Amino acid sequence: MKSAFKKRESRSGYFFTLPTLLIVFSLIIYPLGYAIFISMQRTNLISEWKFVGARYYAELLTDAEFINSLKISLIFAFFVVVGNFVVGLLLAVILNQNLKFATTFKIILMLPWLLPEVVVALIWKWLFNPTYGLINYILNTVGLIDSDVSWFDSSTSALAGVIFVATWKGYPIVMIMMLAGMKNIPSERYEAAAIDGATRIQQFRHITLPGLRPIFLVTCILETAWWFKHFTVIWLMTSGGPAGATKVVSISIYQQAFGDFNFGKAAAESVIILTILLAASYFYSRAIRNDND
Amino acid sequence: MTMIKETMANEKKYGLMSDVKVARKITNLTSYSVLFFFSALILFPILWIISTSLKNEEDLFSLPPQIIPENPTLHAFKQVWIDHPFLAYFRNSLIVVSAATFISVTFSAFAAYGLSRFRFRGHGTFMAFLLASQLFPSIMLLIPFYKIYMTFGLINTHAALIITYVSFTIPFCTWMMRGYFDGISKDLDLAAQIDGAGRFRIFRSVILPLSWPGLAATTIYSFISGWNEYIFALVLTQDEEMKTVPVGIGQLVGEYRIDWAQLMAASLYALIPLTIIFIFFNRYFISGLSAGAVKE
Amino acid sequence: MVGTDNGSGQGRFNVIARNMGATDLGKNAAGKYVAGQDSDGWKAALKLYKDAVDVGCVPPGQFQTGYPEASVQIGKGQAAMMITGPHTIGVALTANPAAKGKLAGAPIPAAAGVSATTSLNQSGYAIARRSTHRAAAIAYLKFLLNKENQLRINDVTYRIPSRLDAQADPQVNSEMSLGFVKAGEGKVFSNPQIPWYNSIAILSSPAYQAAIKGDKTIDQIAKEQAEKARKIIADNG
Repeated sequence: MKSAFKKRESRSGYFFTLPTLLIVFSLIIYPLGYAIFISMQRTNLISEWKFVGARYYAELLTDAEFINSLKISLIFAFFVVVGNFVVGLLLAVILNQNLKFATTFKIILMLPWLLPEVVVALIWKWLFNPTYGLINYILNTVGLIDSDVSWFDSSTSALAGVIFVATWKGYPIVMIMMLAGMKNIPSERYEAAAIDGATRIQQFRHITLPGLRPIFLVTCILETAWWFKHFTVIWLMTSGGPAGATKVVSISIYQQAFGDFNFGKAAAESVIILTILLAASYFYSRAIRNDND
Repeated sequence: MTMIKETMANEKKYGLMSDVKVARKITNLTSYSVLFFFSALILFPILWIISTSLKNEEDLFSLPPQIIPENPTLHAFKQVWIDHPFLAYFRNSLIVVSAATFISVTFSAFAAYGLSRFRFRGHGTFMAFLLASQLFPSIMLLIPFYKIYMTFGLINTHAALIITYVSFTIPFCTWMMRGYFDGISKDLDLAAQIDGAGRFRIFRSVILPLSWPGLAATTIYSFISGWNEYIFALVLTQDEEMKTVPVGIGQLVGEYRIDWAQLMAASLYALIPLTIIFIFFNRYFISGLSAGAVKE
Repeated sequence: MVGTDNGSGQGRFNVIARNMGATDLGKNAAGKYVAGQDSDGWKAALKLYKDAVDVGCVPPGQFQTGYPEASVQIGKGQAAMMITGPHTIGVALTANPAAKGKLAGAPIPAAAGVSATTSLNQSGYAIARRSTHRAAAIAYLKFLLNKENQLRINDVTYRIPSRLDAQADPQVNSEMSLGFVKAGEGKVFSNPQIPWYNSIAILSSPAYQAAIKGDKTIDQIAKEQAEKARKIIADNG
């Protein structure tokens, strides 16, 4: 009796998941296999193909510059994800109170997400431009600075700058996901808590946060993965400079592949990143599994 | 002690207004300040985008910078359609992104329901697999994708972009919807099952109607990711008639010169469909609120 | 100063390094490739970049100043000099038509004992043999290449025409572009035509950025980049 039920459960499970499985599988397995294959070749993808085995992996794992760009990616991803969550969650909580004009604010606050990354990166780069950017002009006029500040000249400020712009662009998705998650928390819980005299902060800690947990974890994992391998904003704003201070792994891969035409090494870098992110998500997904049981 | 004093003072000040109401007023004030602060931070560059789009070539880099253009002109808004086939770009983007969004949201809702309601062999692996598919640096996907589509003669077609965008958005949509379905009580399924409904019917007529906020969020997510995707569209399309809006916008950034006014005008045009989508689906967030009442 | 970490910055640095007597990828007497990143000339070029920024004769924000930004600075009078070609006059005048007649080109000076040299960027067209609109393409190229149209293009873009008779025209030899014509008539270098040259070329931009930042000494930077270059040569040689 029980096993028949289980069987039917399985069949339904497969029925619902199969289409997605097929799409993702067919578009992931080949590229992955291909990348692993070329990571062991010295190749420009056209005329040169030479098997080099694990040489690139060995080189990369002892290459201080590569290790450094992993570190920069980690710092970048950490601050962007934390920033996105702090801003996104804060705004979601406020917007969820259904204040007057909430919809207007919601649309304004969504705008960065609607703009193409290229435009966002270019516009901020222009605003921050030391000689003809608006920010220096305004600060000069108000008297906060008396000479042109070049914002992205030091390693720290350049990294902080790209983190700021990435967060500006990236928080709305977290905000929207959290907002959707909050709509899923039954309002009776808040009403009951309010009757018990719980403050807003208490309600947030004991009702909102636990209620958001499933969506929170998913968004967190994917955000980490996205920003860890982010490319466009940094590439357009600093190209990895000054002197490699913002050279995240994606830029390293891009330069290796399309600057050096060393596709084998670029693929090896990608496989290493995949491994790191897999390991990281293993821990995350264990947290999720605990959550399920 | 001080608290009591404050409360008393407040009571005096606000007369009949209760403590709770005062607290509420203060929280609202804080809320609005936060909203205003962030809105200003968002609108500042966007106003610069609008201002730039209205400038003529000479005023672009004028010193001091002109926040309000001295010689405003709609030239760029008109010229961008004449100089570049943006009509075709918009058509392509709409076709590709609508199709990809529809497929992605439908399939992911299916998969998410399966993952949320059933335990089967490979359940955990599938979840992990969906996640893993998002972890590979996308730059290294370009070449293999190009090769696959080349083999099937799909380069320069809408189909290639549709499939690509589906594969990018489906994992997140599935995870997201799954989190959403998990929040809907399983008792509803059970009740419907006792009434004799099949699994598919339960999904369609019991669970989906309760899931509008989640579906709206995933639709917005899919649509926007596809609408703004640049690098794959750039590599997988070649003819001008097949390019998408972001590629068209990207082409305004030249090696020697950036056509700022047209770039900004085109970006503002590109915002229109997204804003419409957002305003339209935003209503479902709100209707989802009332649905929330029957959930538990 | 174009101080960005990209090909545009690298190309400009390369011209300066050449005029300091350094060749990033040269050949020795035995015909083998040798790295020039730790040569005195290369170091002198790095030092020039550093000094230029340190004494304050470079507009702020050199690391974000790519070609489009630098040409705006020239057009708006925020920068007085730039390592570039004649086309920049055209770009600068678009940003500021009032600058017409106020811009001029001059050959880059060379260090003592080094003969001045420059690079020529030639843009070409090709028509595929199996092109479906071959006749139209040929007609278009002929249209682009007739003398009158070459001069028209020059009038707007300030690019030097490819036709010699158009080059000889007084319009091209105006004071604004004469310096460029002169430089082009002198010694011209070209980079090695090998598929892996770009791997060497990209070593310069992190080097001048690091030199300007000053966290490392110029000797250190030069040594590191030369080691990388030697590894690339060994891998490909």
